This record gives sequence, structure tokens and C-alpha cells, in this order.
Amino acid sequence: MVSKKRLSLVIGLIGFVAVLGLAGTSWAQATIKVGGELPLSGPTAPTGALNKEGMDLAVEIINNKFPGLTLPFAETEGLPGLGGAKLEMIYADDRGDPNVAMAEVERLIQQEKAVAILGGWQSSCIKTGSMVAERLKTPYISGAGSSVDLTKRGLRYYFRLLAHSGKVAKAYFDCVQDMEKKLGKKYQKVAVAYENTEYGSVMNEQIENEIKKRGYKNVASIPFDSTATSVKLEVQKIKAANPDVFLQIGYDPDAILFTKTMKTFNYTPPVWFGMAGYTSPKYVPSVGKDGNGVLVSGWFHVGFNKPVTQKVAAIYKQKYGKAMSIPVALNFMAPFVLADAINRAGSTDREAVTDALEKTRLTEEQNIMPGPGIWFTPKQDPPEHSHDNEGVSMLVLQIINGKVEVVWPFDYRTADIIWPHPSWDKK
Amino acid sequence: MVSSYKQKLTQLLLAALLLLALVYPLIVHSAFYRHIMIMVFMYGLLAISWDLMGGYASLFSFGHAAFFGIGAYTSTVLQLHWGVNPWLGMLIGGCLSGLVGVIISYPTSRLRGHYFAIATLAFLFVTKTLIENWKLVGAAQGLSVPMHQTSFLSFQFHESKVPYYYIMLALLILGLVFTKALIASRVGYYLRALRESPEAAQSLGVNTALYRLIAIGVSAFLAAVAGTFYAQYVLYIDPPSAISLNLSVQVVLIAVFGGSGTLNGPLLGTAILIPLTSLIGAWLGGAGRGIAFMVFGGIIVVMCLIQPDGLIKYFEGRGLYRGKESEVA
Amino acid sequence: MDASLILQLLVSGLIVGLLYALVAIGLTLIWGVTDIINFAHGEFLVIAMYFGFWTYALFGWSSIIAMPVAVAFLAALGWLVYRFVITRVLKSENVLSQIVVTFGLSIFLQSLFTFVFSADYRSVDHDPWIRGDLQVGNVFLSVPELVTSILSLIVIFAVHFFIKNTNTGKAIIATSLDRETAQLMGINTDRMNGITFAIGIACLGVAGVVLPVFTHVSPYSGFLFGVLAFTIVALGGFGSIVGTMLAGLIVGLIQTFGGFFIEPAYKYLCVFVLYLLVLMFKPRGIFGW
Repeated sequence: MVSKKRLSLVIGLIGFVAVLGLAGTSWAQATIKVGGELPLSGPTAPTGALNKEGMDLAVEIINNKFPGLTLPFAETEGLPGLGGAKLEMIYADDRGDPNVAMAEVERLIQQEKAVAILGGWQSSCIKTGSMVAERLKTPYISGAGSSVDLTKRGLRYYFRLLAHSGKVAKAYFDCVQDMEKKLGKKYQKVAVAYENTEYGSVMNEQIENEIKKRGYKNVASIPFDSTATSVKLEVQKIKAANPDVFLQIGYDPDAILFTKTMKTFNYTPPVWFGMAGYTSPKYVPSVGKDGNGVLVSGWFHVGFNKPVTQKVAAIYKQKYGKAMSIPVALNFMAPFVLADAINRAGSTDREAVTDALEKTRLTEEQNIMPGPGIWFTPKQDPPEHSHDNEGVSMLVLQIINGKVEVVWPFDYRTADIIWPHPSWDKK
Repeated sequence: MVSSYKQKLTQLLLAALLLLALVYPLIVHSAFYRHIMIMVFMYGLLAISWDLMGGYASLFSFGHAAFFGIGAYTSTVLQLHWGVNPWLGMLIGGCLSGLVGVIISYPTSRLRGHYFAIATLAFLFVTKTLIENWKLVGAAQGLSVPMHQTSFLSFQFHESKVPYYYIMLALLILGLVFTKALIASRVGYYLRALRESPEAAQSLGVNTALYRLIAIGVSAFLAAVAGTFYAQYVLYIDPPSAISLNLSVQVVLIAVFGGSGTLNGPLLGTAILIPLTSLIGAWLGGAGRGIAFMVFGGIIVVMCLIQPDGLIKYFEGRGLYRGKESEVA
Repeated sequence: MDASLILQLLVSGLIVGLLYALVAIGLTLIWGVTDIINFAHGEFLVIAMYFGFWTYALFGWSSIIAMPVAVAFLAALGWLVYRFVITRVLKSENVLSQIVVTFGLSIFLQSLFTFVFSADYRSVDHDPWIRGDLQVGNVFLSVPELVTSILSLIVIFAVHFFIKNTNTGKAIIATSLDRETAQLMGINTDRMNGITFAIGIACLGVAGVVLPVFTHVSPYSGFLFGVLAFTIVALGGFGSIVGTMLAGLIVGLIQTFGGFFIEPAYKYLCVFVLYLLVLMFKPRGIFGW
């Protein structure tokens, strides 16, 4: 006959263990919901899909064991500081439209209860998406988004991993001046053709700053519509201005259009810099050898010979059957930065995570991108570059024999730079 | 002849809808669904403003987004550079827009419907290009509305959409009441006379040009009010979003679908088409946008074929005057 | 300011002007005869452009081979659209819905393209026959655009000849001048409308098929061409083929010269501002009747 006291003690004990067990397992099986805002339809959908691959791979590395990889949480399953809790990405399609971006980020935060938002590709979408996140006091980390304006707003909850457009412009002209030293030349005239939305016009401003700072002469500054069906007039004006250095800032379609049109006019400047569109997978197949010689600022290159970068590139190649490209790499680090912050904060409370984000310090080995690491400029007054990634730097790439190679900084190169730009028949 | 039974039914329906609109945010807490209703109200105001110009003054404007944009940009620029309160900016933007509308229409209002429509397209394009290249108003980079604490005075609310909801509803109701009053007044009387029988109206010495200009001015004013609301709601405007052809065309199509020349028709059209396209777009995700607008376009075409006077015809038995458009001096 | 620059701009302007003229001819015919403005005109051009692209992408055809197929397809499409959509709105005599129905059609088509073809930009990058660049003195042009312009010129003259010299063509003129009298004279005006629609849309087959070789096509490519076409027709006066062609050339020249000497970003602005100015003084267009 078991006494009532004994029985109740046993039941209590069983109950206590059960609750402990449940709590333990529920914590261990807890997923941390993270929102991903990307253009999954519309003109930049292919790039959006690549972004997603990068984020998915990052989450897979965090959530599973990848021994020997020096990225944060690669060796563990999930976040050790939260009992092995894993990240779960919930994606929303912003369709490349800032209004949709706004609505979708709101939905991710309020309906899906995302702890933070990662992503965005177009600066205009990141602008509105992060604005919503700010209003709802939720961290937003973007690996893309080159507009200076994004961090000029001085927002508390917004963090940017990408090298901002000021750094891009700086890289272009550092490269030019390095070559000037090497060749014993001095260039004078610079011309810019830029697509006339947010992205292009901000980039143009930064280039103009560099031109002024370094004493060059701006001989043409031509905005164009990136959806335009013809750039003949633009090319004619550039040709008439006869610059030493020509920079073409735009997207995929106009990169191809400019190349074709410059060929029609049989015109090549001594130095031809492009941006973004020239490293898209469509460019070389479309223009063939006509694309050889173009220099492109690169945030990333799959041949970049840091060990951790090469390891990740191999994993990606095995999983997706293709070489890791820039859109994949840009948002790849975002889940790691977030996971690191959540882990240090020890919770998913948004204020704690945001405070932890401000103190982020990832090293060179913990990050696949070029540069000494990842850490953010503090929010400051005036709010120039608040929460911009100070640890990142840019590469200059060049299309050589139909392949994209790293040519600058010279120490990281995978091929020797071709300079000046070859004429059409010599490509 | 409109039966009083149908009229009473319509009024009852409107009252019921109003009540539903008032309690909606208390029942529905999802931000997404609230957003849809806010868009319904905003487009509703735009559709009414368009109808005043298109349905009553017979000036089919495909450039209404330009007025919307003028409103959005005026209040934002005034706020950014001179610290002007957005409510005041809204009024100023409305007046500016009305002025622009009158100036533009002065030479063009004599044109036949088709020509006028094309001219408004050109006007829209010109406005967009000018703003895209003008540094003061942000050019292509657009403008961010400076962020303040949530308050009615600063016309910004961050934690919840509910204040935006009621404000837009109030603006819509005000717009509707004002427009209806205008239509019922002498101005509206002459406009309707002009619409039903231009020759008779002219022979009686009605100053057709003046009444048309009044309609245009009010129409542009209301569209600009919607524009300021949008700027304060999204806190960021740029030429593609604020001066968009898509917006212009959608407004016309919605108004005509519902039934132009009736004011209630455009409201009905908005209430059906906006939620429909938003929901289809949301449910179907990536491909959804294409399908949502295929449905939208398809519905418009079908409506034009089977009931050109618009959906409201089934409710009110009254629609745009049916007859050959005639020359207007 | 040297002569070769002016010559280059002249040539570029005429080349693009001829293309615009061909697009606008179809519109002006339809407008002149049926009194309907086809606001979906740009989208039919895009159909032709996609034709040119997909026959290349799937079969490796040169765009020139795709042309007759595109023309036949679009002619049939034009006739069908007339038969099943336009006839009804014509009967309703509601001007607004006549305008709106083609707008609705345009939105429907744009979304259809987005859904079926995705919003990516497509171009014919290595056309087997139509390719290369030419240099004549100091004037540069590409072979595809030259081909398009020459074909446009031929088709414009062919249409003009047809209208002026064949019985059907004369019946079409009669219908456009005075519908009731034409009917009294025994002309089947409904059939004339259908034929006109078919011809008008078929012209786009010629204009559009080679375009993807020197530019690109996307679901929204039609918008600008459409608006420019409306402007040209309104400038040239509806129903006048010669007027439309001249207006097309003028627009091409304004766009090119204005774009170069003012700012390339303003190239279309110049066209539209001019249009609005002309409207103020000559509401019926430069050559309108």
C-alpha cells in the first residue's frame, strides 16, 4: 500500500522531470525565425534567387556540423548559447518594388514573428524595408544595398555589410592611381554614364567626390534610363568628350547595350570601368569576346584566395553545381552576423540583439569577404555611415578571355591586369 | 428613371459599409489586411477625383498620377527644407496641384477625348522626367520624409496602422461629401447639362470652359491630398512610386469598371478590384503579380464588353450618358 | 560643331524615325477607319519582338525568317481582336469604354508576358544573318537597325500604295471618310474595319521582329513605343499615312538632336514638350484634317 504522501511525491517528481525534459527539448528544438526580404520575381529575380542560395547555405552551415570551417557556429549545430536553437529562414518576395518591400517586411515581423530581417537587393527596397523594421524596432541586416543614403539616415536597427558606394568609388580611383604609378602616366579626364535611379545617381555623386579630391576633370556626367532601348546618344556624347577614364554604372541590360553600341561606334576609352551588370552571368554569353578588358569593381570573386572563402566556394559548388557568384556571397554573411549577435545576447529579444550587433567583431578568418573582418561604425552624429561595415574592402575585377579575374589589389590577383583597354579588333 | 427603392437600397448599403469600415480595424488586427483597406480608401479618393474630371467634365485624364505626385512631393519638400507641417503641406500641395491642373488644361481641354487622353500621358511623362532630374526634390534618389515620434501633428505613426486607417477613411469621406456637394450645386448642374447635351448647354450660354476648370482644379486638389497621405504613410517617395503610369492607368480602369460619372461607381470599383489584385498577388507569391494583373486586365476588358456603363449600373440604373461624343468648342 | 556629327545625328534620327513611323502607321490606319485608339498597340509590338526572340532562342532562326510568320500571326490576331472585342465596344458607342478596353487589354498582355516569359530582358545576341556594324565615312550604324529601317520604308510605301490603288484600299478610305455613305454604296464597313485592324497590327510584325537584335525585349517594352506612336499619330493627324510618316521622322530627329544637344535623359521629353506645344496651336496635328 503506497502512502498518499509517497504517491504525491513520485507524481511531483515525475512531473518535475517531465517539465524539465519538455522545456529542455522545446528549447533545443526551438527555431529562431528570421525574415528574408528578396526580389524573387521581377527583372532582378535571377539575382534574388542567388541571394537566397547564399542565405540558405549560411543557415545550413550554422544549423549543422561542418568541422574544420572557421565560420561562426560551423562546428556546432545551431547556437550553443541558446541550447542549440536553429535558424529558420522565412522568405518574402519584394518584387523589386519599394512599396511591396514595405508591406512584406511588415508581414514578416508582425505575422510571421521574425526576430530580424535579412536581405534586400535593390537599394530602394532596402530603404523602405528597413524603414519599416526601424518603426517596428526590429534589426535589419543587409548584405547588399550600395546607396550611401541607407546609412546616412542614422537608424538604430539597420546594419549594412556591404562596402558602401564611397568605398567602391575609392577602389576605382586607387586602382587608377596605382596604375598611373606603375606606368608613369597621369590621366586627366573622367566621364561617367549612370542609370538614373537611386543606385546610379548616388554612385555618381561618390565618383564626383573622388574626382574632385584627386584633381581629375569631369568631362561628362550622363544619366540614362536603365530600361531604355537605345544608348546611342549617350555613347556619342561620351565619345565626343574623349575621356581617359570612363565609368558605366548600371544594371545587366544596359551593360550589354552599352557594349554593343560602343562597338557599333568603334569606340573604346583607354580605361573602361563598369559596375554590377558586367559580372552578371548573362553578360559574357551575350557579348562574347566584346566584353574582354572591362574592369569591374567587385565585392567578391570566387577565386579570392582566402582559405575559408575557398572552402565555402567548394561546398557551394558541390551543392548547387555552379561557381559561387557575387549575389550569393553578399548576403551569405548576414545570417552569421545575426547568429553571432543572438548568441552573444543570449536571447532573441530584439533590443538585446541590436545592442549585440553594435558590438560585432568578426575576424578575417571568420568571414569570406575581402577585408580585415566585420565590425560596424557606431551610430554617430552627423549620421554619416552609421552602422556601416568598416572591416570590408573592395576588389577590382577584369574580364579576360571571357572569364572574370581579380586584378587589384595586385597582391590578391588571379591574373595580370590588361591596361589600357584593347581596341575592338584586338579583343 | 431611378426607382426610389433602388435609391434607398443604395443608401442603406452605403451606410452599412460605412459602419463596417469604422469597426474593421477593431475586428481585423493583421497589418496586411489593414493595409489593403487603407489602399482601398486611398485609391477610392483617387478614383472619385478622377471621376469628377472624367465622368462629369468628360476629360479623360491618364495622367492623374502627376497630381498625386505633386501632392506627395510638395508636402515632403516643404517639410524637409523648411520644416513646414505636413498637414499644412497637404493643403499647399493640393492648391499647387489644382493650379497646375488648371494651367495645363487651359489649352488642352478643348481637345476631343482621345487627344486629351494622350496629352495627359505626355504631361505625366514630362512631370516625371523633370522631377527625376531636379536636385532640389531629390531627383532620381527620391526623398525620405524625416522621421519623428508618432503623433497626429507630425502625421506619422509607427507602432500601428490604425491611425493611418482612420485618417484615410476620413479624407475619403470628406472628399466624397465635398464632391457630391459640388455635383449637386450649380457647378455640377451645368457640368451634367454639358455632359447630356453640349449643344443645348452652349446655346443657352453656359460658360463651359469655366465649369470644366473648376472640376479639374478640385479633381487635382483631391488627388494631391491622396499623394501627401501616401508620402506620410510610406515615408519615402521617388519618381517611379509617386508618379507612376501604373497608378494613373489603374485609377482610370477602376473608375470605369465601377461606373464613371456616378461617384459611387468608382468607389464600388475600388472596393472590388484593389483587394482582389492584392490578395491574388499575395497568395500566389512570385508569379502572382503577373496573374493578379492578368485578372485585373481581363476583368476590365470583359466589363467594357458586357456593361460599358460599369458595375454600378446593376445597382443604380444610372450611368454615363450614352451617346456619341461630339465636338466641343 | 563638325558636319560629320550632324550627319551622324541625321542618320540616327532618320533610322529611328522610320521605325517609329511604321509602328505609328498601323495605329493611324486603325484610328482613321474605326475611330478607335488602340492603346494596346505597344503590346502587339512586343508580341512581334518576342516572336523574333523565341524563334531564335528555340530554333536558331534569323529574325528575318521569323518575319513572315510574325506578320501572318499578328494579322490574324488583329482581325480576331477586332471581331471579338472591338465590335462590341463600337456598338455601345461609349467613348470612355472604347478607350478603356484597349488599356485593359494592354495591362492584360503585359501581365501575360510577365507570367509566361518572366520579366527578364531578352535579346538576340548572335543572329546568324542580321548582324555587324557599318561605318560610312564618319557615320556609324549597325546592320540590324539599318535593315529594320529599310523594311519599314518598304512596308510604309506598300501600305500607302495598297490604300490608294486597290479597290479594297479605296473602300477603306471611303469608310474612314464617311461611314454611312460608304454603307449606302454597298461597302461592308464592318469587314473594312476588320481588314484595317489586321493590316495595322501586321505592320508591327515587320517593325518588331528584328528589334531584339539591336535592343532588348521585356514585358514592359511596349509602353514607350506605344506612347510615342500615339504622339506621332496625333502630331501627324489621324488617318493620314503621309502625315504620320513625316511626323515619325520628325519625332525621330527631335529625339536625336534634342537628346544630343540638351541631354540624353531628356530625349523623350523634347518630343512630348513639342507635342504639347503643337497641340496648343494646332489641335488637329500638323497635317490633320
